[in-house]
Amino acid sequence: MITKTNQSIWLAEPGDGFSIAFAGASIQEFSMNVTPKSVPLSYDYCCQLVYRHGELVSVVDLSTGNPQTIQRFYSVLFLHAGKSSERNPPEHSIIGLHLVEPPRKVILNDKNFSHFDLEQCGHWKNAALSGYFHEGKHIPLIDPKLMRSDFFIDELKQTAMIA
Amino acid sequence: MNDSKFVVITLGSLNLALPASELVLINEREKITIKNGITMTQTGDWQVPVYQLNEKLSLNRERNKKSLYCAVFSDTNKRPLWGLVCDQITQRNTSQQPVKIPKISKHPHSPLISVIVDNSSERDSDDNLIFTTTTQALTHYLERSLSNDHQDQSINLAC
Repeated sequence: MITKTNQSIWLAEPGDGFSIAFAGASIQEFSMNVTPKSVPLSYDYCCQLVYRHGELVSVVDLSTGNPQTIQRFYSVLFLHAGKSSERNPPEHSIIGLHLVEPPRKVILNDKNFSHFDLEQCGHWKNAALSGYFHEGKHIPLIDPKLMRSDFFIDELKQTAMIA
Repeated sequence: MNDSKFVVITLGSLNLALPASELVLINEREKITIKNGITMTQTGDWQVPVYQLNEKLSLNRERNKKSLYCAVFSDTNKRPLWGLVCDQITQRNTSQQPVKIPKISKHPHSPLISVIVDNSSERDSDDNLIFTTTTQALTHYLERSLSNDHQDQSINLAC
């Protein structure tokens, strides 16, 4: 007997030309109007910090430099990135991602997995667990922990400017 | 930074905290002189170079008329090292533990170490971040910046 499983995911638009997805368990909060603070001498993909609930949160912003994505409010998706025991001292448990649109929940089924091609996901391929082919797009399912990985960061650094 | 007493110098919108024990002297802007193209100030028997950094911690060659003070910092042997032009300088005590800047938000050459959240403001949204550094970290950063600056000028001359 073949069973069809449906899975709900959250689609997100970071403003870098890619659509990405997160499992519900990865998301802590979506905040529409955040006031980030700039960090001097940081890379432009992560040059802002937000202090919230007693924690200093780095905000990954891949839309910087694209004037079409400049918005009135600065919205951030706060993600559970876990504490990395490999780093000493351990890294902070939450990571932020600037979005140019609010995330939207979609239901996908097994069929959406089969046509997914990770190589179509640009820098996001280094933070992806798996992915879907949905609405004509290859959408990687992102593990927020991997957004701190050297593979993901090193690829961003190749095109980064110092803020 | 173990020292809970620190001085906060204001460089535009950037608040920079250094250990209070490493501050030697605060001079007024008028006591800065330029000799052979080098900006200096007198600290006791010592003449020390004076630098001007902007809020992005870039060396600024143009004179900022708003900056009123020059804070002179020393090494751990109390030997004056250099002065920094700033808009404002305040002494602060805090029980708040500085939070290390996440690695992803920090360039490897940055002298900034951690952040103290100044929530003395009544409105939550007005939390002010004070970036901490040390005289040693800032000395290394200044040396590197001056070296890069010198190289850039040499390249311009060559062109």
